[in-house]
Amino acid sequence: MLYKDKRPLIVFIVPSLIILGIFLYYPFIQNIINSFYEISGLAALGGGKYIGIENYKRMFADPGIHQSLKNTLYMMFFAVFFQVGIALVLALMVDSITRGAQFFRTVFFFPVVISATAIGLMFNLFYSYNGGLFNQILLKLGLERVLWLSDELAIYMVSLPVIWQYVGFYFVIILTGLNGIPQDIFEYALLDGVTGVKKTWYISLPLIWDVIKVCLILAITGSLKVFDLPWVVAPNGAPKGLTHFLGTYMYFKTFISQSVGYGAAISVLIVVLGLVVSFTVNKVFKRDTIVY
Amino acid sequence: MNKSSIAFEKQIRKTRFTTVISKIIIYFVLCIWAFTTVYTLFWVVNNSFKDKTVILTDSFSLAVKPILDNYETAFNKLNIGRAYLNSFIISGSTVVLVMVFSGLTAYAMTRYTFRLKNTLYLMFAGSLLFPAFSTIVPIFRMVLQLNLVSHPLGVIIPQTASNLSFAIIVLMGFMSNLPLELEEAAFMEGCNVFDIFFRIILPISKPAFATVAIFTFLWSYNDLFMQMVILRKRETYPICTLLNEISSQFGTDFGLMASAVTIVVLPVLIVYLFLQKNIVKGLTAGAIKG
Amino acid sequence: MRKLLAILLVIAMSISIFSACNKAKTVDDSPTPDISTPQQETEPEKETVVLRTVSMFGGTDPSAADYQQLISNFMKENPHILITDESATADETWKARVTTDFSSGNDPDVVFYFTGADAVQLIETGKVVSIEEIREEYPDYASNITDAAMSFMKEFDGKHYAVPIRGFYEGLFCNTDLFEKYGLDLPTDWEKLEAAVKKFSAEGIVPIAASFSDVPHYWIEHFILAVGGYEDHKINPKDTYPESWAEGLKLFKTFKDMGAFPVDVNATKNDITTNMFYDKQAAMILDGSWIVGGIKDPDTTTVLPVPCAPGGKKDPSDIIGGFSSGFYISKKAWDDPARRDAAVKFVQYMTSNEAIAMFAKVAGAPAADVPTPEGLTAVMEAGIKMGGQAKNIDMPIDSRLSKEAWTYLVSMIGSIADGQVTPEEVLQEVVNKNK
Repeated sequence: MLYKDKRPLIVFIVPSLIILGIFLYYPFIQNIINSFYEISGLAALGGGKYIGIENYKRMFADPGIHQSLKNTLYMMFFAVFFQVGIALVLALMVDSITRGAQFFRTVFFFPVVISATAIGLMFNLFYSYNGGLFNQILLKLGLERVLWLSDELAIYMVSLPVIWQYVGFYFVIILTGLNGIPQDIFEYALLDGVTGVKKTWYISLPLIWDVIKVCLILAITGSLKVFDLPWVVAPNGAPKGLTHFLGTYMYFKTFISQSVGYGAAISVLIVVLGLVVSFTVNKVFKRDTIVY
Repeated sequence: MNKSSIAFEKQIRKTRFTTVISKIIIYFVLCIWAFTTVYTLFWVVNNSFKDKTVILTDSFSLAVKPILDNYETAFNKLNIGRAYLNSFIISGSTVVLVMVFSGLTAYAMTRYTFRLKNTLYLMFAGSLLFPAFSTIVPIFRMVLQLNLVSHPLGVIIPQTASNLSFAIIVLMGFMSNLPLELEEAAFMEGCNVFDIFFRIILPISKPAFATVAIFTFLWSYNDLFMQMVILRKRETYPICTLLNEISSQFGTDFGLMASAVTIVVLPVLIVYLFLQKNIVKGLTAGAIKG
Repeated sequence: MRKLLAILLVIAMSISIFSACNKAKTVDDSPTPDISTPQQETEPEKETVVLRTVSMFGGTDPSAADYQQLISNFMKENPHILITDESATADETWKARVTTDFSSGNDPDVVFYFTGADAVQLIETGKVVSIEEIREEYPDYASNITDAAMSFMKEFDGKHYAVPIRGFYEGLFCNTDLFEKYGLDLPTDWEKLEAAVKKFSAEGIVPIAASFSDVPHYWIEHFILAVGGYEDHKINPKDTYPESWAEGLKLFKTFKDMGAFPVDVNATKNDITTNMFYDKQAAMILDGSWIVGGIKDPDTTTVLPVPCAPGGKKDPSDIIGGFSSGFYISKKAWDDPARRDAAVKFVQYMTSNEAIAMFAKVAGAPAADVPTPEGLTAVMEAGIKMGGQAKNIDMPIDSRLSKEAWTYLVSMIGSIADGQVTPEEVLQEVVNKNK
């Protein structure tokens, strides 16, 4: 009834679309065009040589892309299960307590506000082989030193700070969702003997399902774009390019190697991949929306 | 005492023991996580009171004799107050614009059914993925044509665009669960959609808006790349750009960097604490009832 | 409280919009007096010229204060020229900002920027003017710069574009106290270098502080130089690569197997390894003249050329060094008669002997014949001596290779040192990418 008349849509949606269109979609269309050119350096942008789909062909043969793609999928997996997972557990826990809830809400947010440069440096000083904190602790315990950023361990060691830093972000979002559940629903539940884990499983989770779905989409898109923290912890995909993600590899190609056209093609790949995965998540997790 | 409250009382007694155990586990887990997050902030602040030469070798010990040199360098060399104001103007305006546009769009996206809705949703999700590095040149060209280089609006408008999709998607997640009855009732009483949006949706969604505002503020505030490219005059520099001058992203003066991070983080935490008051339990329920 | 916040935000908005109008107004106002005031035609030299300059003397750069001082002196001497300077610390974001400017038509009038591979895109797209072209009109332009310094400014098209002010050298810095402590000779030849590496490694001291993931550049150049000598190092491998390059790169594995580098050499960072050297946890570091300012104990630190490898063609005194940055005048400024003169004046002022002496006193070699600055530390003097004695000085390889080829080579060093790829395979790919 209320939403039969579609005319107000113009006021609601068009302003956003205009802003997005001019300052995001149009620039990105330019980027798509650039991906068909060979452009050496940002200053040469708009010039360059038309090479058709050469940049895309090149991606298939580029081992750097394969490595970053693999790592990005890892990161996506970590982000979905650990980042959103831990955030969900923490949010449910904080939601269930009253004493100290304010404190935890505040301190869990700290890592999100601290710049990647500072967190990256801290982890560098954790991992450093000579005199890093982790190895100092191992030595004190009478154990052998460990090469934390070895070829095998590096991807996990680089993902760790990224995952950890953004738990607070999803925590705040999920907590906001939980707080939106009216209290009377829980009171009725308590009367019916639904408590603890059951309460969480049958009442809280279904009611914040849409919020969790949003978190998943943000985690997926975030891991496809991830750039600054990995770049500080392990520049140039150290060691040996084994920890490159699509985001860092795109930066590397555009700014360090100055292959702007190729970098543009990588960002097209990032967007296409992100759309495919987001679309799938939306389909898989589709449920009837529950209103309170 | 009526019947239901007696049952209520019994239920509580029965679960009291398990509650104590689970409470202990919950607090234990929360404290461990809190330790990692508090330690990081402590590490940064602690190192900001140390000499730059000892940080790489001795960053984990307590600054027993704290020195203020790093802060003195920052405050003497730079106009920090002016930079805070610039940051506030830019990020504050971005937040307001993003809230207005994303609120309207998210509301429409969750309430109306129309043909291009799914396409629109994918377009919003897709724009979350555009790397800033690949759109900066066309954006800069437009800002240049609009004569907004070194002007706050030159940053505010592109930042509004880049945060809009995030805000729309998160707000949609929150709004889709809101009960329709209130809106239907208001409609029956003769309210139009705009009345409903401003009188019902906005008040109930206050916590959601607060959350989105926090993150929009944060992204905009920390967006060094866009600020660096568009703002050229020192007097227009926001705090992050200004401090990047003395502790360049890849620079080596880690003492200055630690103090810079502390200076940068402080206002964000204040904004967070301030907005977070809106994300308090029960507010929503109260709003619906009231 | 929320209302307060809302009010504050609205105020913030209005301030920014208000200042927008304000700005737009001033922009609109400025051209009008030119049309309405006829006396300007009679005294054209009084017309104020606004010159936009960009440099990397910003932030905590040791020359930042001097540079600003020079600008204000220049404006005092030339009251009709107004300099709006946009200097910032040079990093990748800064480079992106400069190149974005050029690609968007916001070209600065004068820019202090890198030469070689970084400058290719500016030269190819005709964004900057060559010194040859400038000299046709201003024969004195950059005439005080020494021929040696100027020779480093020669670009791929044979022309010169940037006017240099100070140069750099690279060398093997050694903590002499550590060599004394373990009874070792300084690495003046290859045997001594290997002996020192083995001894330090056995004693648990990092022989050579280095980071392959961050900046392996110096060792790439010096291993190739140590085997191939000046002549082979100078080659820009377009169709094929010199055999000595592969031999040189093989030394990465030889040295890593000897334990010459930190255990985490593949993933540590330049800041951390440099600090290891400063703190005497490492005995040697191969680096550029820019690190001398950070050396804590200059009296027990010295710098030497990397010795010649067994069977190598290097003259023991040869070093890597040169001039890698300078002042450019943009085509846009040059094509505007009013700004052309102002830009030339500005660059001439900034590259005068007096200015060059000011810039060179911090680090590196001056680009003009100016007296050696006083008050140098022991290691700075050792560096200047090394530069003076060098038979040949060559620019680093990355000044010639295309960015693609060079960054590829850099990214493969870790794998070469671990023996996962052969230098031959990598160099073949470098040649392919170096088009």
